[in-house]
Amino acid sequence: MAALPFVSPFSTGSDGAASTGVASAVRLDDLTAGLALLHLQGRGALDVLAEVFGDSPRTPGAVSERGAVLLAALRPDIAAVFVPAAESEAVAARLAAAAASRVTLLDVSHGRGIIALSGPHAAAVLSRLCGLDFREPALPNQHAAQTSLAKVRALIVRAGEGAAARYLLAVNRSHGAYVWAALAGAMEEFLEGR
Amino acid sequence: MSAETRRATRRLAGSPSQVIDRSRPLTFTWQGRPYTAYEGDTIASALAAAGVETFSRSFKYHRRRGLLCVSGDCPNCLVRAGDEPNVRACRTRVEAGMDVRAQNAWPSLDTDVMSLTQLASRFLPPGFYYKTFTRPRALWPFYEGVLRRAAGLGAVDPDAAPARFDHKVYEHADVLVAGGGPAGMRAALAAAGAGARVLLLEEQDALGGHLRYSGGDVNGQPAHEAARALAAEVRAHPNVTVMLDTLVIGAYDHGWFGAVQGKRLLKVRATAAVVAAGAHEQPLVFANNDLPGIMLASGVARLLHLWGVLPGRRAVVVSANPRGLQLARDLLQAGCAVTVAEMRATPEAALVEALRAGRVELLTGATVLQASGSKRVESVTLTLPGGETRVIPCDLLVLATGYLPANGLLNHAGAKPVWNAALNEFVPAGLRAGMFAAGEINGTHALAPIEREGTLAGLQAARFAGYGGDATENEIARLSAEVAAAQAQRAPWTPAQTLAPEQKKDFVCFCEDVTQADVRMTIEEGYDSMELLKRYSTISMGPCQGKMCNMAAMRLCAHHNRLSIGETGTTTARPPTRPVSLGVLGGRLLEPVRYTPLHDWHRAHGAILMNAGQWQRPEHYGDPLAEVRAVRAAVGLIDVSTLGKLLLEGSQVPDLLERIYTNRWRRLARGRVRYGLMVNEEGVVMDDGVTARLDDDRYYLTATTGGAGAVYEWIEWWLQSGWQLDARVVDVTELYAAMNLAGPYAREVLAAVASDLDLRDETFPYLGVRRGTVAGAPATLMRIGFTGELSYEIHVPAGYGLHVWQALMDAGAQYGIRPFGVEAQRILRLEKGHIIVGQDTDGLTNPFEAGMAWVVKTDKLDFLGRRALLMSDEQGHSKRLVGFTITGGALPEEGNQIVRPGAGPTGLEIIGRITSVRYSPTLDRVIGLCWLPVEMAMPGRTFTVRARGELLSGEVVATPFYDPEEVRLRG
Repeated sequence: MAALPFVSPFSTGSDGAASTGVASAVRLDDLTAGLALLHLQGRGALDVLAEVFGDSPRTPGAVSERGAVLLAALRPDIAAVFVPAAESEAVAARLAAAAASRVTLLDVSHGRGIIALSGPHAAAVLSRLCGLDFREPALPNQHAAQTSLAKVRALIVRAGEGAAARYLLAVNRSHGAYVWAALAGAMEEFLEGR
Repeated sequence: MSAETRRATRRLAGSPSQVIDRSRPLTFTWQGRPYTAYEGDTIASALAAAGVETFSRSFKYHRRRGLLCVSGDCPNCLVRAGDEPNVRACRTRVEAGMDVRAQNAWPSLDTDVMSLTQLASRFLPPGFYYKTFTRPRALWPFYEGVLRRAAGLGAVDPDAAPARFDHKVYEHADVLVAGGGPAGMRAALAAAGAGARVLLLEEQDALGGHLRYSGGDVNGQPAHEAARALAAEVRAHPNVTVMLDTLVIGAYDHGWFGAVQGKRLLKVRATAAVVAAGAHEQPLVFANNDLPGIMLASGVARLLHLWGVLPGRRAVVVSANPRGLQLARDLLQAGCAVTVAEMRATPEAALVEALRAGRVELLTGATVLQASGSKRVESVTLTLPGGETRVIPCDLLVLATGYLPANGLLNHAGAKPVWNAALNEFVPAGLRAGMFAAGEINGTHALAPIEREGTLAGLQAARFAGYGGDATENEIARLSAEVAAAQAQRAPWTPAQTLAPEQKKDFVCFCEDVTQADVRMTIEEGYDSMELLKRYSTISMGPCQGKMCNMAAMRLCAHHNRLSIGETGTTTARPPTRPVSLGVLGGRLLEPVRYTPLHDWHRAHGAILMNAGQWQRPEHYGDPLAEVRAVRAAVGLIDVSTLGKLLLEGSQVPDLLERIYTNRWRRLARGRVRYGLMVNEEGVVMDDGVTARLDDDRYYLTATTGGAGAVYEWIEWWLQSGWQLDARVVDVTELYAAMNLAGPYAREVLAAVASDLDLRDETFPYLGVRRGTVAGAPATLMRIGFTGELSYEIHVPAGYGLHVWQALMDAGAQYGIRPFGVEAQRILRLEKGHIIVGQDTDGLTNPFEAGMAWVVKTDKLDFLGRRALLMSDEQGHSKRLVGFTITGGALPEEGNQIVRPGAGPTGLEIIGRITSVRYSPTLDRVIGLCWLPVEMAMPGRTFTVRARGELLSGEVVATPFYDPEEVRLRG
């Protein structure tokens, strides 16, 4: 299966660039191919995470790190797991065993585009497309929010602060190219003259 | 005149308060001629420095207008800069190469033909056009053309390159401070000191407010230096964010504020707000009060102290407060000859002494009766105590004659200003919780009380936002007492009388050229309240939005109605506080677009794309009829990734399906697919689609492209709020690419790339679902047929969609496969008589009327909409959706009306409409679906269609039009 050619949503209608911007200001990277996203839904979803990872974020919006894996509680009955693509099958198998029939487990990687927006101006770029308050304490590091970004649904995870500010953005695959263009447009003013 | 001489005419020597950089000159053009400015100049300051006095022509009488307020409030300096009309010259930095032109003047600013209208002003009272141009009615188009050419300010050049506006930006703060003068800065420091995150927005390009240009000293320090010191303290505070050139334009519910910074709109959310927006200085009303050279004191002070421009050599200063006297002193020091007409009987002794020491003539108790001059003010007639008048030659008349609080933001949020007869000003009252006012907006004009009010408001706002403790509370209590005591001691800075006796050309409203006589006549005609006066005379409806005229209009309205100003009241303040271009409100265009995983293939293969909601879908690939023929005769492939797709899991999914669909689901076997129709509680058709049972507790539901989101939310809403079933729904629309392989050779093509699937009818029959691999990708396949042919709907992980599509196209090459688009699909489904929800149905359609009773099982226990459907069935139905064909082959359009002879101007009665119609290449005739009265909805009945003005003959035909026995579909 892995041999099949995977097409990133962010390459639609573009030259297929996987990144843009500069790290010293703001930078956008397509992580879709390397980062899988697992979706757990059901009343025991957070318990399943705790069973597999030893602990789980419990309040909606809370995020915790387990090595390279990010666990996000989105609703009392919905969780998201960001996991390196190479580990996704193994992690999904462990989760599936714990989930049994009480929780729906889906690898939704094909349905989402995942971007990392990083750099000191990352929050300012987001504030041009999203009404959330990205500063402390409204959205602290290691927190997630499901919100509207450039008028489309997005999951935003803050995974870094200060000079290492970094946001993971998961958007619907079909909106991927549009969101990429919107972010690139919002980044322009921070890249001018560089 | 050379550019150099134009630059030098009125520029003073440099001083520390100035904001221009004389080492960086630049050149721009005004009316096509070159002018020199310095970096830091505005268009207005640069032109004023070069001796330009007429900046514009007035709206109605095309009178000359010069600088008045130099603060962005009045309409007098609106110009065209480059392609942009209605630019405020006093608020716009001049740029090298800028092409600045006057507007609203023809053939030139200096000689404007339309200025002749003032000779006929007695025939042009307010509302004259309502009365004059009403008869004869036939001439209205002519009148309209003339009026439209004469009306309006500025013009948009349709050939200009579109302006590029910035993204809207969201900002968040605990405390928003609107205004960066001394009150705002003190408020920001106090709130930040209590721990609040403060956002300070200032309209000007520097903090400091009037201290930057008011001259004089503050505690032994020049005022502008005191402003800079305070500004530095604000900027250094880690809790304060300062944004300059940013005007707060509106206050809305839930702590939202709108602000404009250049070409950018800010949407600010704040828990609390301090409005320290200051006050608008007010002109007096007297004859010829609009002549160039007549300026507000604050405008002169700005020119003098910020840009080093002396706008006149012989000034008369009419003063009603200490700032007027201070400015007179500053003008004197700048080399101007000054006469002061002091409206008060007892002005400040120290200032009077200083002026007299400079041999300035000071006339106490004086005011202005009229000004005279042709192209500019040349003299002023003063009225002295006792009624004596005196004419004084001058080239500058300065009005330091009181204030109108800039309380728009407070009023947007529900405050009701009340008249303070001691101050001759309105003061705020009834502020919304969490909003606080400080400084000149309160009628407080002396510096120390202004700063004290700022500190108090800042602390109150911080406390409201949850910061500070007992110490803050104690400080608030102490300051509140001090502020109250100080406010009780205030002397008025605004005179009780600002109107000279009614004369010609004594303008109350500079935007719309409304005079005292116009206001009187309007009131005499019965428009005697402020709101009516405003609407009839258009006073306060121009670019200044009442900032220059509202106070005078209220005084006149009160006078003519024999009421007090408090009884007369104000007009309603609405956002924005100042005109904002639509481009700023719109911001950068963000219009979501959705692409399927196969989008790039479609574009590379010549697809003509269409919008389907946000989706981009191939409408066709050049020849939709050929695409139809390919599906009927060979094989075709269509991208249906846009279909809504939901995964349902849980032991009670069958119960869920029974409740959301009108038909039965409990006996749906594993591996089987069933069509379902969804109606809402009113029994109105919502959506349709198929649902496949993949496993015991696992189902896969598809919805229409347009209904996908609504269906997901509908199911989720019922699951969460109503039923508590053991069923989970996950929207997997994005997870899968979907394609429909249809046509007589579909099986052969699929078999070539799906070797692990047994595709025979016996093992994979019509309405079956199977899991397998297609071109190596995991796939879910459903044998269904919207097209009426043998077809397989193939769902694969989206990232592999392009690979699978290409594999199918390659495998189908030998069978003549063609991609087909939405247009071919519409024809194919119409040949089968299938409806499209939302096209053939509307917000009132129930399944019985749509001919879908076969899918409604009212005898099952219950489902959403069952009760409504039972009731509507009992009441009977008046219309039916039926198939039809057109005699003679003419092709009507969707939406065309079905008519019969009847009453009315056309002699026709509308009895139905066409919802779908196409030429069918398979049947070689026009076919369609239409709504007809139920008594006509039987095969063979004829009817009349009104299409593009012609009457066509249609005939009801039974559906499906094609393959009614479903031989091709089922194999």
